[in-house]
Amino acid sequence: MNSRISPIVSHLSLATDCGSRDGCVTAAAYADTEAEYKCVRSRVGIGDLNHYAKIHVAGDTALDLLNYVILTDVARLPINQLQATVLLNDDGSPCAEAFVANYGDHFLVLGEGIAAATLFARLAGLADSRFVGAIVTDQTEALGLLGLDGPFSWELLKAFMGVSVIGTRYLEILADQALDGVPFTLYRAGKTGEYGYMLLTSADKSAELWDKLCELGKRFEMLPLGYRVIDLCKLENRFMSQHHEGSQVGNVLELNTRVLVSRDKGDYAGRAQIEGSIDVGLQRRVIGLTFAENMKAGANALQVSDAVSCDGVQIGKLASLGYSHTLQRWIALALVDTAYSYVGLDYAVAEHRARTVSAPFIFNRSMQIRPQEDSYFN
Amino acid sequence: MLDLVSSPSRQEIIETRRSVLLQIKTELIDRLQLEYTVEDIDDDTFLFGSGLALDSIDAMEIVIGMQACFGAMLPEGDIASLRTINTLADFVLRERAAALLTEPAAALLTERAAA
Repeated sequence: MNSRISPIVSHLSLATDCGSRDGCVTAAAYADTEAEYKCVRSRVGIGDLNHYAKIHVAGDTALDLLNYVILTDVARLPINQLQATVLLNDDGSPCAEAFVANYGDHFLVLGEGIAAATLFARLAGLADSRFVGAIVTDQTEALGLLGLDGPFSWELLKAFMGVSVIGTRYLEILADQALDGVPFTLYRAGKTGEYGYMLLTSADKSAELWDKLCELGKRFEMLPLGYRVIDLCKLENRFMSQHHEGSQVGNVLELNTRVLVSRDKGDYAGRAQIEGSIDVGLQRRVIGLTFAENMKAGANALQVSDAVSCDGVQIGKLASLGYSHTLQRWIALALVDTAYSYVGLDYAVAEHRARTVSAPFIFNRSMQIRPQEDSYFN
Repeated sequence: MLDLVSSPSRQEIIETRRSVLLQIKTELIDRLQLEYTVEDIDDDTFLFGSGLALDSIDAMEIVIGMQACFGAMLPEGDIASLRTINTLADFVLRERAAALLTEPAAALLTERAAA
């Protein structure tokens, strides 16, 4: 169901390939994926994040409602910060990835991997039944969300925000910002493993903010990023993706999320299944795989759901797949029996040999950049 | 005599890594006073950001912990090893493998010097 169109797609005719993501028509790619990839891994790219659900939750029971549907504990989230979390189905499986923003008097849920209308209906339904006093409003079409990612994304922002942007800590919120009169809130967050920022503005200003950022980005040879390259970056850096491995697990803990579980926050969706699996132990979990270098991009020899085998016995299946331009090889996430889910082992996928590897797959350029000393123009 | 030719079996690789992972998790919990049990921490858990949410002071403690626990010194700037529990284990296992490779060479040099 494509119930809406991103205001950036409406504004531009740049995208070479559009697709539906979470019920929103948005850009899958603007240029070729490799060009976008090189841009985000070495410079700065701009992304249209308007497919995200944006749900405002306020009222006396807002915290309890959110704690019921997420894996983490919002009570531990300071004001003016974000929490990266997972939204849960009633059976303990994930239904979306999310950032929850704490504004003090209300929360804003930024969900990906779920249609905004579906998430709103779920939260509003809980507010009507179990968490009376919570006020849930769907802000998805009223708000616009853009992303800036790359080793020098901070430098682009510094050009008009000043040095304060350098000191912004991961998951911090900077409200009341503006670019040439266009107001926005800055979130220090992203999903590419590079310096990442999200800019929240009103929907009717998002195209204007996009254009202004693109103008500033010319000095950085910035390119727009479609969701396909963001998905690849998420895979390389092992950010959970509901569109890929997240939709294939039966229990959120199979995504290696156990450290996020809060066991003292009261009841929550899927608690029996999640805590039951903690007590009994998981049957399988996600692990990274790399393939031989000589398997070329576009060879299309592998597919999600391909069996992973050890000595002829199936021990798992591929859950996500991509070609890493950094590693120059195919990489994958596989759901593998826990007895086999250790790093440094060789297994078979289709007719290919795959080796289990540690997360993340790559070492990001941003890890080597010091904003106090470095510059794109050096 | 140490056999440097034959590869370890899959089970040996698993047991070795499990042992190192357990030591790393125990060391981090004790040294950093983390409110987790060993079972709470998945092997691919990130040390910083949205994983264990450690900071730069903790990073220094991890370096000290790896030396205390394994006698292995993380080189300055080796940020790649400080990403997840598994990358720390990769570092420890690499150091062990390097030590195994250099031991026979060192013994040979000692023998030659004595002769």
